[in-house]
Amino acid sequence: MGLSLQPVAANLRGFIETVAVDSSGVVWVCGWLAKDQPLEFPAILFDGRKHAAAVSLTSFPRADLPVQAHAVFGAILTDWRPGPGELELYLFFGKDLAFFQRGLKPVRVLETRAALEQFEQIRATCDRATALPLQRMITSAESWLPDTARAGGNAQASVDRILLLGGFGCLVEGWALSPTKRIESFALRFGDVVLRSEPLATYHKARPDLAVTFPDFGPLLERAGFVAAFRGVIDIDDISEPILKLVFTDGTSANQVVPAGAMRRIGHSVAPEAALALFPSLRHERFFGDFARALQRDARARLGSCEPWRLAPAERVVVLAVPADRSDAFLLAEQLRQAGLANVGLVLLAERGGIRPEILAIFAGLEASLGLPCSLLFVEDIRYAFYLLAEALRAVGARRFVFLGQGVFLAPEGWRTALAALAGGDEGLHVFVLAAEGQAPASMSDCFAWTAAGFAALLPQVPMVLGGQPDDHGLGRAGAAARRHPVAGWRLGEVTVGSVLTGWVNQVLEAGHG
Amino acid sequence: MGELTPGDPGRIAVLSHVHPSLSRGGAEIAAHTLFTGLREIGVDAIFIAACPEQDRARLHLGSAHERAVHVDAGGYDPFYHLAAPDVVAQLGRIVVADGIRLANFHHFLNFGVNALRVLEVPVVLTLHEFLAACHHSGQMVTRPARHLCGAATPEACATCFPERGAARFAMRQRHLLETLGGLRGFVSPSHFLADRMAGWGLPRSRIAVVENGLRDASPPAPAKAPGDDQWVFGFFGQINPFKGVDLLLEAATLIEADAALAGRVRIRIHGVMIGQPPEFVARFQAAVARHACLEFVGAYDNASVGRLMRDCDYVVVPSTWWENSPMVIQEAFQAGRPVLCSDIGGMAEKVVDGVSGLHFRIGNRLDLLRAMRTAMQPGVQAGLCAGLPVVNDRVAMARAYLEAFAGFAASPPASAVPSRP
Repeated sequence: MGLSLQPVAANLRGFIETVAVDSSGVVWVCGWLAKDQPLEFPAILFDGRKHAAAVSLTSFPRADLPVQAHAVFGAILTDWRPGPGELELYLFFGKDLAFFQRGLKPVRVLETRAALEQFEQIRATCDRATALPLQRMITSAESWLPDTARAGGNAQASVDRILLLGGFGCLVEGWALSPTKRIESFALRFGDVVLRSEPLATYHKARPDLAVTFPDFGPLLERAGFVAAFRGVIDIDDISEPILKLVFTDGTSANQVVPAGAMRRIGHSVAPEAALALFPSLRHERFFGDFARALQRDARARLGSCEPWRLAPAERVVVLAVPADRSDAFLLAEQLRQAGLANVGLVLLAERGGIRPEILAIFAGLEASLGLPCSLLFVEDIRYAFYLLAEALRAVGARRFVFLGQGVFLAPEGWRTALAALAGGDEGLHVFVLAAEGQAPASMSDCFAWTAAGFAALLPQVPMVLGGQPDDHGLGRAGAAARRHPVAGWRLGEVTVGSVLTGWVNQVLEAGHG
Repeated sequence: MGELTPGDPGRIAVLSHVHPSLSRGGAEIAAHTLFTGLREIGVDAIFIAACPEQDRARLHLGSAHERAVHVDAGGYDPFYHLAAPDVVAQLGRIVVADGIRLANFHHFLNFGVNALRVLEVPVVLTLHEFLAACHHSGQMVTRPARHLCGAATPEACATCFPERGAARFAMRQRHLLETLGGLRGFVSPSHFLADRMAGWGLPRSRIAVVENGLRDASPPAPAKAPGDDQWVFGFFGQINPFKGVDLLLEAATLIEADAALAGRVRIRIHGVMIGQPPEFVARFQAAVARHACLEFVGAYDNASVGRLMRDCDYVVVPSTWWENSPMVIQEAFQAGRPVLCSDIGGMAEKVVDGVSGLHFRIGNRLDLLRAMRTAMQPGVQAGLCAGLPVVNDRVAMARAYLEAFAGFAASPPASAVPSRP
């Protein structure tokens, strides 16, 4: 590389017109070259700095070129990357690096897909001997060049849905038609991460709907559909267009870019139940345990922490998870005004979305009318208020507390019982069993009183279950020492039918924790 | 809480969920009529009306005895009917500053039932529809099919509003009954409404039935002259989905098809369209254009309703919901006009079939036509006119209310516990 590179005009042998850099770093070029020059050669790419390069080209005729030149398309292995457009670009090659191709100024930078389309269009007119190695590069099982389906045995594929779940991978539904080669497996590339389909979590199904578009594919349509689980860790927050790879039994492959619109993030843009559409027997799949635990981790991660809006320290507090339903929130506030609260602090945990304006108005009203230290902390999902309770108690410096979960309403006598326990000398766990007429069996964690320290010690042992309203949130572990008080009260559950999947997931989580 | 003293009501506040200068619904008109009636007989009454913030500029208090409570719709919960603390505080200040001894709410909308609970004076609530029992605008009509509902139970209500669920409706019923159960008494303008609300859980013994009064009395028109064979059936009121105007359109089709009726009958519709879907409006307009017997007059001023009714031979009330004590019936009676009405609820109670009007089966166009034919028989209208009852005026209404208040004072509630959980 110590040679001095001089673009002497007499040594100009062609031009580089377009470049594209694929995800593996190969630079694909198109341009023209004098016919008397070789098509495979070592070279130096120079844009003010020198970059070693190995060049492999194929040639094809182009009408606009003089008879001494032909068009070329090919790959360059180099660490050079397109820079600012104003830089001159030269590819020096030959003895003493005397000859060179000059890049157009500015050289056009293409998407890889566009460059490969160029190749696809001219492939039939290429010099066969030099085109074949390039073709192999594109269809190699290791290649992640996008949209190589046609090059790969004329295969066709599409992904209908990708359900992403952080810490697990994804579940994919799509179809693939390969008229000449057998598909062995699938792989998905997300950025730098490649996930492979689980053989035991892949199945095919008929796609008669494709018959209109592919009338000649007959029996292939019977198993053109595929559903597969892809396991691995992907950075869900940084995903652009993934690439689906069909891996054929002959070791070649075909790639297909997945449109971003096919991707959904479980727990964010789609409910976990969407997985049931792909795997109706989800709970019996071998990966279900990992799936369940990933759902739990994802829910916990999304929950985040409390966001204090106002903190009014108090030693004894009543903590309420304010219902997400607007009307229920109003009713709770009304009942608080009648509850006879005195010598305690009030802590409202409320969802930061949804009815936030009403929450602020309700809080201001309570603060003005109760004359108590009132705190308000926002949380991401009020159903999980229990898991943020210790954090809220720390924030307000509480030593003892009564907690009412979302949708819990106490009758006046229920309030009296709960407040008496809070004020009394017994600092053990008091569980208030909602026992009003018409109240379905409730959880121990719906309403209870304890010390902040006791609860904080227990919480790490409590598995976080989906939906936030499990059997007893682990209070049962401390339950032997708990005093149970039947109280007149109710819990208004969510109207939506309890998810069957949530139940299955929670069974896994509870079993794993037991 | 202060006590009611029989015979000495002290200063009475009549409260309306909206001021009549902003809205002319039946409840607000009845409330204001009572207020004027009370003052006319020497009772120290004041009128307190809610005024939505956005209507402040339109509010017109008619005298120094009227007050406004400004309410923000965004701070009101229309499910449990709870108002913002500020509304309750405004009311409380007025009650104290004006030395109110008794508060008679006509509706709890806008004020919230929490206001009824915390005021430091005896509270009497006048029921104007089923709002406490029925979340569907208090109509006791199912949603979305609009069938008549026989009883508001949590399970039935959850069928209308599945998104809320039966447990929440049970909570709503419990909350409202607990709150209303503590009130001194209730006034209902009809036995039908009183019985229905008692069935829902209010203590029947504390519901007095007092007919609404009309603000202005005018002499009734004479019956139709013998030999006049041109008949006008008038509809008066809002043209909304519950008022049964569809039935009149269907009847018009039948009339046009009947040569014996076509030239003799006119259906005259007075009112404005509210909440009607575009397809109904189009159908309505097409029917008016197509049928010579159908006449759409449009909106009318309440002051002229007597004259407009006298220009008709009968008033038709084809409502497809229960109604309680429709003012239009009293106005018809006051104008000297018998009423043809659906055979249910408050309509059937107020119009005695064959005496002050004729019933027809609800929603049945053929039966409406039968009633119209009967009404056109010689001598029928004169006979029905002779059977019209005397309509309460504001003074009679006020006296009846005072009597009811005195009754509540004489027999205060044993407890605030409602008759049903």
